[in-house]
Amino acid sequence: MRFVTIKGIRGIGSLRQILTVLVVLAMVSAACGGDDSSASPTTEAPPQTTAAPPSEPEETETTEAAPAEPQTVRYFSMWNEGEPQQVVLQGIIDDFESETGIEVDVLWGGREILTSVRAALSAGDPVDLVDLDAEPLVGALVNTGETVSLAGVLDMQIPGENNTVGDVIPAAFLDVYAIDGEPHLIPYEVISSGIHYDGSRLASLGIDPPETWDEFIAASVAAGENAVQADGLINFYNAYWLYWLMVRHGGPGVFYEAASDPTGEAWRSEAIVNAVNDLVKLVESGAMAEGYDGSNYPLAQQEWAVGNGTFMVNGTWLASETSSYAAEGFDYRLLSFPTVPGGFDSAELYQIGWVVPRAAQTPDAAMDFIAYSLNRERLAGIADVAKNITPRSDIGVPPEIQDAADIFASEPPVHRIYDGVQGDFPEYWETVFLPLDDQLFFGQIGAQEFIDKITSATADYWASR
Amino acid sequence: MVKSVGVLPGSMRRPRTSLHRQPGRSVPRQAGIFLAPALIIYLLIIVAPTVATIWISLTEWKGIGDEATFVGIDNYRRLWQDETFRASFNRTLTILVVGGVIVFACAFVFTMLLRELRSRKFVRAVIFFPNIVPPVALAIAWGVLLAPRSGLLNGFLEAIGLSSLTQTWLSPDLFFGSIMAGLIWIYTGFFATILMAGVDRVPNYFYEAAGLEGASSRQLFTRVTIPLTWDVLSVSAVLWVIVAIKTFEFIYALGGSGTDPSAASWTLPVHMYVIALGNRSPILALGQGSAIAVIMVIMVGLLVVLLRRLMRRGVVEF
Amino acid sequence: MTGSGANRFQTGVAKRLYRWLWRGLGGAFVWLWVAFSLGILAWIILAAFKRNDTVFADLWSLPDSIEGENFSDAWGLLNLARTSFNSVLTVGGGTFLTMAVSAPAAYALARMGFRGAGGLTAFFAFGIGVPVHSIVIPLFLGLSEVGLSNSLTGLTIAYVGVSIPFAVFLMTGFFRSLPTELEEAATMEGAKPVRVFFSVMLPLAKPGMVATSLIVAVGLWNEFLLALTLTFDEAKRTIGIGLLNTFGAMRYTSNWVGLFAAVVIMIVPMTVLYTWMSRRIIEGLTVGATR
Repeated sequence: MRFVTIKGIRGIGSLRQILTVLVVLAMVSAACGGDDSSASPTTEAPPQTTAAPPSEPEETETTEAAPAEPQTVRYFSMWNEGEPQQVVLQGIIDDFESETGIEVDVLWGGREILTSVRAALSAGDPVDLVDLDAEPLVGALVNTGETVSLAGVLDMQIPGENNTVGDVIPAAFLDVYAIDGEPHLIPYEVISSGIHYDGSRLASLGIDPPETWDEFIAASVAAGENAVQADGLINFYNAYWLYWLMVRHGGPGVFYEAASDPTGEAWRSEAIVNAVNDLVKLVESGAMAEGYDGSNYPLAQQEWAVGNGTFMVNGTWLASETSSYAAEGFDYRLLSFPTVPGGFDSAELYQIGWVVPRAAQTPDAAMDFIAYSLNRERLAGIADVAKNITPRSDIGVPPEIQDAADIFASEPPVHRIYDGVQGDFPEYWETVFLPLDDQLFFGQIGAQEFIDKITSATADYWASR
Repeated sequence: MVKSVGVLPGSMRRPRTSLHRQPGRSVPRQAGIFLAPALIIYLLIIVAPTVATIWISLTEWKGIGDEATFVGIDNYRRLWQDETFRASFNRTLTILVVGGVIVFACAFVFTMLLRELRSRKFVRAVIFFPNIVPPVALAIAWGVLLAPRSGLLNGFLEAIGLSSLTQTWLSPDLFFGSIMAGLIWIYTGFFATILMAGVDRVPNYFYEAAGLEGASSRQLFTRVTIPLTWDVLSVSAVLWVIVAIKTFEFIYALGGSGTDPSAASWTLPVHMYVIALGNRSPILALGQGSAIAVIMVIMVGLLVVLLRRLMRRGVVEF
Repeated sequence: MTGSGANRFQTGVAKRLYRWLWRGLGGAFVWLWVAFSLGILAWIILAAFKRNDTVFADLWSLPDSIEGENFSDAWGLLNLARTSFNSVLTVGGGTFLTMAVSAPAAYALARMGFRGAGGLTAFFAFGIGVPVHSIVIPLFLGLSEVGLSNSLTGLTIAYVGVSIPFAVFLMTGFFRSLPTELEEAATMEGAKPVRVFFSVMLPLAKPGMVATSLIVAVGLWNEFLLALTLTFDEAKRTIGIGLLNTFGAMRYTSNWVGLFAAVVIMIVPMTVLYTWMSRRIIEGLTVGATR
């Protein structure tokens, strides 16, 4: 220990030092805080909770419990502060509060909202209303019997108009996740997917919008470099291709059946083999963008939007994600996924909506809020501001998502996103399907190898359960 | 992210002094007062939940609100047969061994070179900095660096006329290598800092004396640096085991751009996170996730004991 | 002995050449690494000032205009007024409490030489190896059992718990490395261990305390998994959650430059702290040492 001096202790007061650190941090935060309120208009504009008397007759329903003080709806939402949907919903909430006197205490929790919901539920904290995209929401709360039926909401009159909720939300949408025929989830935004392109670019290339799969491949090959863009690192984007081809070849349910077949042999069905072969055709056509297998989100869609690339498969949210930097004159168009000869025609339906947990303390007020929000003018913000499709066909949409809205205009038969496999068999989806699908889509394995591997992997998966 | 900068040399050493070890004195009681608060919190926050995790790993459970069913060692057996798990396991092992060798090789090079460098403090601060940036930010930057077509690295290679070397760095074949490169970049600075702290403790006259006798840099390294910093090395090795097995955020964020990454890039903690807590498609296999956690803890425990055995050696006193 | 001069000359040349090569290559290695790291940092910072339509399209360019808007976006989204306050509270409180309980424990383990001290040290060290996401669910259940879920107090306690293993580990080594003379003298004079600890050892241990608390604080500052799971009130968010939400919001609206701005905002205090204190950290870790 000869060389150990005590130089280290010179002049440093550890407590003082720590306190200094704290003070610096506090100062930084105070500085930030100073700007925050002025810089961000989207954070809370304090609602006028002047307990205005209910202006709508149906509000009497909520007074069953005869609350002496204003009720509070505790709302857990999937949106992050600053997202357009959040802005729209916040506007609706503000109006709802001032018109009904019901307070809405909202948590903008982002896509991890279920974590918070779980935490609150198990801590016995009130959760009166939850929104999220349907597949995870239904899997986590509805199918486990933790939500109440919203059949009653269908008969409620929408404040400010003469329709009931049931009049404006198509029954086909509500049926998808119904339990014993009763809806537990009511959507306020619907999503689909297809092949996006820039209409003016395609016209300038002299290519007609393709309709069939063969036409699509021909058009892609003709479109030149990086014709089909893809962010290959997002495996569930890659999965769009094969899932759509399977549903086109074998109809809704064919993927679901194959995934849930304990022997795995369903993967060898003709429809699926044809779908796999069709995908291989695209991969081998050379139309895929260079390096698509190593493209990290959002690179490919960014390039696509600025004109490096022609087609891109994605959800109907692509326009809203890319419009802020798209090339000048970009004409957002959407193809329904190409058809195949003798195949099926159905539309993908993906919903974002509300559920009311069984543990809700003010379920009636929450239902009032649902009915209130579905008012045509109020809900229009989802289309106008957030640039997404609403379940109401009488709400017009901005031109960049007109094609997407048209998908539902003819009331086609609908199927769940990924044919319901992601939602109902999430582990199979993650550990069996997606890895093999990636290999197929990246050209690492061929059609036959894919079929063989997924057949045995599916059998193994179910055997171990 | 590892929340550690360095390690005290000597922390694995047995106490040099046993000042109060006179029998008959109420040392345990005194020690008890000193230890109790930390011990209680530690037991409640870490140990008890870990025991609970072991219990959960023997059940099938979807989380709060679901009834847990006891299934014995089924979860472990299933993992054992699961190819995806074995692949995750192998990736973790690769990071541990291959990554470890490279990280320590680089850290040593830094240690040796910086000993003589004038701007060593600056260099040290720079190479350490990835350890204070949120890993998510690093992963985004890493993604930009390695992106195909417009990535910084490919762009650079083209700019200096080496376009033949451009690669799709994040394609499945190279992806894991790219993750490793990122981890090596992050942790080399971390371990170099620790090793340098150890080297700094070696009195300069050892080097001066050896230098006068004409020792080469290599000899200085093997004859002076290594023996005299052995305790720091052994602590670093232990820390590396922990870091390599636990590292999570960087891989998660690089692999999935914020969503669950593809199984082709899973390591043990990522695998565990996705099947137990992941959000995009909540699997909520908490039993199996807990089993992976238990396996990780056992791995850490075994390797740490093994390493300490291997590296236990007379500490050179100076 | 004949010819040994020439031989020595040759080996001398070889040695010098070798040393020169080593210096040259080594220097290149070091400076390339440094340039690379600085490049990445610079890229993140520059990206924070760019525009969304060019940030990925033209990776190499300098920002053509300074987009202060990115920062005001990020400012608002991080909700810094609230989150940084909560973070300072939980990280500051957690760090302080961690040190308050870890330092005495480490002292006891390192210096009191009681039976089982070695085993107990290893027992604490075991905690470093426990992955946080393996304990969050039981931890959450336990905390809600005692009414501490969704509370900053609960989060702070959790922070203390997860920081203790590493802090004890570091401080144990630190106390071991301290000279014994003062302690011995004090004991000779009949001071009780508590007094020895507070009036002799703690002052000696200050550098180690500072270093350890900084390390703990940096780790907790960037933490988000515990905060995400153990609290769910808007009002109880920490800056780590703020970054996560910002990541979400920016990603879904493709406001990448805003995200980089948020990252810059988040790393500024840590960078300042680190550049200001790095010497102290290192110094604290290597008490005394060479001149």
